[in-house]
Amino acid sequence: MNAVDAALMVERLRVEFPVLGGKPKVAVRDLDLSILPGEILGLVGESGAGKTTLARAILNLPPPPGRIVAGVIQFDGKDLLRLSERELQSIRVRNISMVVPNPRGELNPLVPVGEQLASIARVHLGKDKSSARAMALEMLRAVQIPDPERRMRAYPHELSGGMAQRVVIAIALMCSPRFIISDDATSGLDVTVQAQILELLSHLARKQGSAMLFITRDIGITAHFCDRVAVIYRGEIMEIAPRESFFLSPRHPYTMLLLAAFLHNPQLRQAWTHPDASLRVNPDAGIGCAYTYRCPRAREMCHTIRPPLAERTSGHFVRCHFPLERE
Amino acid sequence: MRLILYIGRRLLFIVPQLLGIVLVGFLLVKSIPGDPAVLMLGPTATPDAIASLHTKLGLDRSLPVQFWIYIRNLAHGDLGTSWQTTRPVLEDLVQRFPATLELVSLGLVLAVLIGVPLGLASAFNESSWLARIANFYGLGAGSLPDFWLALVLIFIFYTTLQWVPAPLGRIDLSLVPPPPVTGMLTVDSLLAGDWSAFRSAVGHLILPALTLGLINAGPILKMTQSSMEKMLQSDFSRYEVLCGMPHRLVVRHALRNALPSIVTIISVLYGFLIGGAVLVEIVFSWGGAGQYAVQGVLNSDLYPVLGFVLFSAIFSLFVYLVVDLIYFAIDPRISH
Amino acid sequence: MSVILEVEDLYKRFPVSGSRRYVQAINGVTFSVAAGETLGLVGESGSGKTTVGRCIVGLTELSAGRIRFKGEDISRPRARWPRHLLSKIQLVFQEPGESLDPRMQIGRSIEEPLLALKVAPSERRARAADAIERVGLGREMLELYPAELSAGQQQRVAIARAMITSPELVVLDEPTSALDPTARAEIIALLMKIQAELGTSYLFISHDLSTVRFISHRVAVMYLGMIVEQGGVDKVFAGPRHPYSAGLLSAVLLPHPHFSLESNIRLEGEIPSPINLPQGCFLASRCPLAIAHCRQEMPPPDNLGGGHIVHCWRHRDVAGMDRASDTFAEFQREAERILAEQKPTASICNLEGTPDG
Repeated sequence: MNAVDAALMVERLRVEFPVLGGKPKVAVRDLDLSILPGEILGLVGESGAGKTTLARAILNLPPPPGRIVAGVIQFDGKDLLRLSERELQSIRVRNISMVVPNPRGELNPLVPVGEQLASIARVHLGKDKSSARAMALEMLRAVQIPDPERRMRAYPHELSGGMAQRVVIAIALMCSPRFIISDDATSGLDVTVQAQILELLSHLARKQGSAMLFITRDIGITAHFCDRVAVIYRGEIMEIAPRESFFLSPRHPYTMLLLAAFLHNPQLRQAWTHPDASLRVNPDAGIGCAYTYRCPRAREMCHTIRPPLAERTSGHFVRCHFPLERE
Repeated sequence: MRLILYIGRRLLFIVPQLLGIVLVGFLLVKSIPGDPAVLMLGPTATPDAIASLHTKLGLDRSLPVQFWIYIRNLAHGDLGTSWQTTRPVLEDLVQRFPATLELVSLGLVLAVLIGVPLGLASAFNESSWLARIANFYGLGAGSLPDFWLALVLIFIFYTTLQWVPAPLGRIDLSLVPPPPVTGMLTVDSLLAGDWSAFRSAVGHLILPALTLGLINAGPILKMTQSSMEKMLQSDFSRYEVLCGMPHRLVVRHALRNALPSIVTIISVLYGFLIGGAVLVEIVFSWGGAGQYAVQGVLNSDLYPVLGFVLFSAIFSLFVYLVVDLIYFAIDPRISH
Repeated sequence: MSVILEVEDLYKRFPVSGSRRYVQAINGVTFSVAAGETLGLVGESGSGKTTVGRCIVGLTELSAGRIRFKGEDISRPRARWPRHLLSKIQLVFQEPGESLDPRMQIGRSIEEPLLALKVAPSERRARAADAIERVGLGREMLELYPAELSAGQQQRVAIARAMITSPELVVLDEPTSALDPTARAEIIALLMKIQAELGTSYLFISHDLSTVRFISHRVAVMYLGMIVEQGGVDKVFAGPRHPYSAGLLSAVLLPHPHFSLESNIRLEGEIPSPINLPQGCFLASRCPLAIAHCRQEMPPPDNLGGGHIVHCWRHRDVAGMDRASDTFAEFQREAERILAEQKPTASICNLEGTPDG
């Protein structure tokens, strides 16, 4: 895929976190990723895999004290990492927006939510005060918040988790951006509320024709809401494939482990876990395959040579020297 | 409606609070070594004279009785008499308290005008030269003695440059002070339309207020800086940046969130300075309430001290009430 | 199987500060747990499941009702329990980081429950070493502080601490919700291993249905302080008879694009406040099957046989609305097939010499 086709293209992105008196910790390591216009790409990983770092790095806002040290992020013919702060301001939420987790902690506690929505419309869409308010009300309706007129004046702490999440989705979708990043948008919500939010988000994204990077720890979600699915481990993409191919014929040992974990099948889980895995601490060597220390299939080559993200069948890429073979 | 109830409840509580404060003040003053009767009569006093003075002053009664008498008189508006000035304490304080208030208020305004902008500037760009100056200043202001700074300023602006009048009181001795309405010379002279008195009062006020301002800008600056930094690093500030909100707006919102801390420190300083400005008052012969109270302590003159405690306590409690109302207005999360 | 825990008609309400109203957290809950079995308690926020756990362990006082442990009445705060009972019932919290004192070495944390039992220091240390090995960690880790462990390891420590008094009943309140999927699976496997070895009973409180399904023998579904349905876990999950159970299950997303637990029953809106509960069935305002009768009168328990009890006027209609087949089991089989297709080959390289963390 080249830059012309993709809605967003990440190339060789590297984000590091300084470590006191030592080598910096690499949170995102030479990562390549492209998302087509209108597609929903799911990104699955565990905590510390670099999901949020990647998400925020796309907007050139790595979580402090992280620093982007290399890479290119192609969007709309420009490299986002080389733009000025002013240019980035006009892109954020207008062309690329983000749905954040823990919305009640991220919304300004002293400003009513209606006002926060309206200010987006004023700043990015140039609306005057009354049309901005009308738009804000419309968005609250679109995200199915009950009693939207009253909720316009509510403060974030007065809303439930589910409603605050809807507000954050409204903010992210308000300007019909071409690209939406959803970072763990449903963690901490009740199951039934989560289901509603997922439906809402994917429905609105599709309606607007926006592409979406859907980041989650729950692999189950991606099977039903995403077109393609990717797995991230220690800052690297380990496997990426169209949904069917991903779930019906997974090829990376880590993917197998994630699926086995869901099944709670002890034999299968043991089969895909390295015998000493829970006692081992991975040294951050940066040489060879990042998954070596947990991999039950690891061989000598895995320690020294980093496997490339190679295509196995059409659209199905794996980063492994010895991926599973399927017919 | 809830607001009125709240204010009413607070005002109601002021009475028992004051009672407690006065009780503690009373016990503390009584514990100061020194016999007031001896001090009043001088070293040549005979034991009989001392004893009869004790009886006259009520010093031979037990402590609880003495306290009860004091409270009873208080209820009638009698704060006792100062044996130093031989005048009723109430009269003395009515004259002196506004003087301190005037000085401290202007000093605090100056402190805010200096401290807040510097604190903001250093919070925005931590490595700029302004931030470094601000850091140095914040450190320095906290370590300088206020009377020393007062003397330095007098030397520069009076002795050398002759820009301000002599540091002898609140107004030029040759001028007739305006009729007292609030007790504050600047306000009263404005009300009376007396321009020469006004100019003189301001001229005398400038240096002591500047002293207080320069010293107290330090903690205000520090608090503003740290509070703003914290807000700018908070999740919601980062989220606003993530939404492409312009810098001005992010800063304005952060400031609003930082306001409670800044308001708190200003209010604490305000209450403190009523007594804490005493050294500056002495250097400038201001005739303020702090001076009055200190002299009372040194002379075991009970009533001025207690009177001062009462006045400043009422003032502080009032300031804290206003501050809480400000919080109410700023932060919707606080609800009673 | 003998019953070790009986909860009878439990009620709990909390006063709302600054008003005379109450949060009705638990509204008449009755269930039992047998020796060596796991009862899963599922529900969303406001269901009261955490409060039920805390009442059983004696951390919260009941408003009404009875709790009995092996016949003995324990319906009172833990501070007033006889000593022999303290060791028998333990609790594991959700956030391991919060339940472990960050300033205490984990060995001391694990020993802590033994202090109340006045066990000698040398015996305490020995038992702590046994406990930590039983949860799959090494003895040398007793000296470490919680911050030096991963979340999964911290939770193992919390389990070691709960198990050190050899309890017969352990209440686990969302023990895996804060963990990653792989750590979650390991903890569940550990719990089941302990249950197999020691015959411990679990009250497993969680909102994660797929985990509950795996570890529980029976399940009770809670909504606004009531158990709306309870029974054998396979029966309830394969064929729920309460609209809420069906709604809850349909929200589970299986990691396979062809398998969906979606139900014809869809719940609207959000969970109402537990302060002003309606007169009739609590779900009526959100239930697509609600009729006038539902809003007027709370449905009584209906025993469907085999311990399967449901509180719904229209449970027969619920049964008719969805497929009778067990999608979950079908998915399980298919997923296992995909994963078992390729067994990993044995490691050729000897990894023993690599540095240990």
